[in-house]
Amino acid sequence: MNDITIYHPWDMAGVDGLVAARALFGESVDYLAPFQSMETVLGGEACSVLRLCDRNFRITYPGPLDQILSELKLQLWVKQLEWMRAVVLPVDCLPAIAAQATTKAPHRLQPLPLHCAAPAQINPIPALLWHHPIDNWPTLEVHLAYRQIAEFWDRIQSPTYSSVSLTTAHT
Amino acid sequence: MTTTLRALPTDRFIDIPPPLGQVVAEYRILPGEAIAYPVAAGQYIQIVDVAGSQCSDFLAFGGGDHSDPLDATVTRTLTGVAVPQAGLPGKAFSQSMQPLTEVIQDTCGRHDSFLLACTARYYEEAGYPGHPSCSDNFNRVLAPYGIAPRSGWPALNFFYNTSIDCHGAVGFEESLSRPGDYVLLLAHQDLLCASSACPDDIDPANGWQPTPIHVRIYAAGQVFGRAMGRRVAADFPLRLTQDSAFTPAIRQLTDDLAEYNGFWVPRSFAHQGDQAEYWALRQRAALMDLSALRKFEVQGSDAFTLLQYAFSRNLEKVSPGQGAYGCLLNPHGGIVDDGIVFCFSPTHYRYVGNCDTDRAWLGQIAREQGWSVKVEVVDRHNLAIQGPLSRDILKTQSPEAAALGYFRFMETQVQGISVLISRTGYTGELGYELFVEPQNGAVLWDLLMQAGQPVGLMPLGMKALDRARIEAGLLAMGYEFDDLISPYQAGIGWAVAMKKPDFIGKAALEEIRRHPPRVAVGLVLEGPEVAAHGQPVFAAGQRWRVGHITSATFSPMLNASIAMAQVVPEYAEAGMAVEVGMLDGLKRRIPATVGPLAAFDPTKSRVRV
Repeated sequence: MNDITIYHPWDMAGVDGLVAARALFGESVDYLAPFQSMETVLGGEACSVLRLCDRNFRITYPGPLDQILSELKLQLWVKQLEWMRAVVLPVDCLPAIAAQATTKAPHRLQPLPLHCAAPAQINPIPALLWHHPIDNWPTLEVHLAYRQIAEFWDRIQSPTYSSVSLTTAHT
Repeated sequence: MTTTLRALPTDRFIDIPPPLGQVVAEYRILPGEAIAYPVAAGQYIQIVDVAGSQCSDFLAFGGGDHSDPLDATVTRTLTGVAVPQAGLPGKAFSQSMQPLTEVIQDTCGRHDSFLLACTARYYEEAGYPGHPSCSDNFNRVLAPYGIAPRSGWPALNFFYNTSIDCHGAVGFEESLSRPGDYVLLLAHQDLLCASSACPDDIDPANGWQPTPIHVRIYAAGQVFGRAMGRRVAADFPLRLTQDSAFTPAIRQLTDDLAEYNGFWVPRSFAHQGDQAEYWALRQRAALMDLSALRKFEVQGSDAFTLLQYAFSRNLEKVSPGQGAYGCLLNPHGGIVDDGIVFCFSPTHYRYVGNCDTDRAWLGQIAREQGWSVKVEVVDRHNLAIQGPLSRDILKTQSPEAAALGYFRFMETQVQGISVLISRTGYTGELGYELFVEPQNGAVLWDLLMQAGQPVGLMPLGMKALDRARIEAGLLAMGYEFDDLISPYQAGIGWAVAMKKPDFIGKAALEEIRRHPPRVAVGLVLEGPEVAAHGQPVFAAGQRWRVGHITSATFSPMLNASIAMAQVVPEYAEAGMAVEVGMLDGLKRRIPATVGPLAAFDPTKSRVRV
């Protein structure tokens, strides 16, 4: 558990969620369907943008996204959810995790293409599996409740995942 | 007293439809009684309303010791529908949120999950103390399994016709089920089930006359197609949802299918999403299954006369090899259906529309007029390939068809397959539709997908199609028109050839067109919020309505929230300011500007290119 550097993404949602995303990341966000993502740069920093709903986005960004957005005076909230964190895994553990996980149609984990995410139950831990590149390397990012990280960590140390070594999104 | 359970020989029952597959057990529940019965995971449960108008309440218990009962509230919450229905929202869940059963087929379509199985209390309050109830019957048949009694059992009440009105009142009426209607459920785990033939004879729930319910259990390992029953007219047979010729290929690419006009159609494709499909359509090309359209061959010496009378366009101007968009009309000027008439010759036309009943309507007119013409269903399924690169893709398969002019068609061969190709569509883009015999559909799908792959063609689902058609100002039945709405109100007054000497509805339309009660317009709303069908349109700053929204979407191309609306003529002028009442119509108003019905490319330059 001590080896995990916990990663904390930003979430934003509201009536102006799409307006804000477009203002930050350009019209490319229009091309994203829910549970699809894109890689971009914001303020010189690499960031990943995952669309969760029409007006809901999750963003990996090391800077103060809330401050940037506050200047736009839009109707939305921006925060790092207290109860949720992200763990980054090598993408080659995706097949093993997908085999243990269930997801609700129409989501599919086999395959889970790059730039796509899917909500899943990793027996019995609820998680969002997100396949996207970090520093140009395809990666599996797992979003889950903070309180369940230890349990998740135990599970991925089991024989099934014995080859997995944890890294972090931002070191 | 517990009803005795016996596996009954299926050929004893001639009062119900034949079995759907291999039966392993069969029970007849007498009127007013209930049974409990085991079902193994993978087996199917068919609950048949023998005589019609009879409710059958249903319980299921999962878990190793029947400790995890079906929970209607959990089910509604997880499925997002009032009652599970065939397709994605088909599962019924337990208290611990585990799937217990799944609706595979449902020929009735109206059930209840809000109310308890009927209780002694209900009858007592109605003045019938001691009246038998489903809940008491369930208590009795479940007792041998160690299940504690309840005053009232929350159940899935099949065939129970309840509704919630605009005041929040829960009402019920006579069941909609006809003799032989059924639901077919798949058991997702080993279950103890209980079913009733409701004893309620004091109100319309069972038509005042309880009748039997029949339960069949089918062996595991069989495959039954998912289907809902649709009844489109009193004199038409039940129609079960069907796959098109392209659906097997589509199922490889998505699980997100929904019932539409009797067919399973994709809503969006896995890992693709409607945004990507939309942009593929607008920037490259997209392929979509439009087989849910109905096709009718109109042939005979009076074919021209019939359609000239029933269809709104002047077919004198439509030559062989040409098609025309218009509508079928009724005597008061309402739109029976909209569609395209393709002309093969003056004695041979094909009408492509939306309704099974079109054939009967055209046939009735022909009979009444004494015309010599046959109207017959023609079994063709059709794909549409649409988008600015659609011509380039089609050229690789049929160079001569790619050269077709707007609203022209030809019969040709694509890789040895007979295809009718028309330069038509429903997207506001350059595009073509390809009609094939169903047995050739899978090959055609693969051919077009492969041909389009180098230029980024994507399959497109109904969500993206709806966005595109609203941008293009194209009508959808049930939204922009029905048989009480005239072409002038729906926005296709241009498709009515008033100079024709006579046609159905002409007299009424002459009156209506002078001052239609409402006319169709497009609206561009301020801000990103999207309106919804039925929401009111107000005069700016006024309390009174001037119209209502018929369809709405967010237009990625225009980067604006847009809507189709029908407003009074006084507010239909381009540039007029109106307000759309959001939510309940009162909480928030959004300013909007009146414009052309097609917010995107109103001159249709893209489809004519």
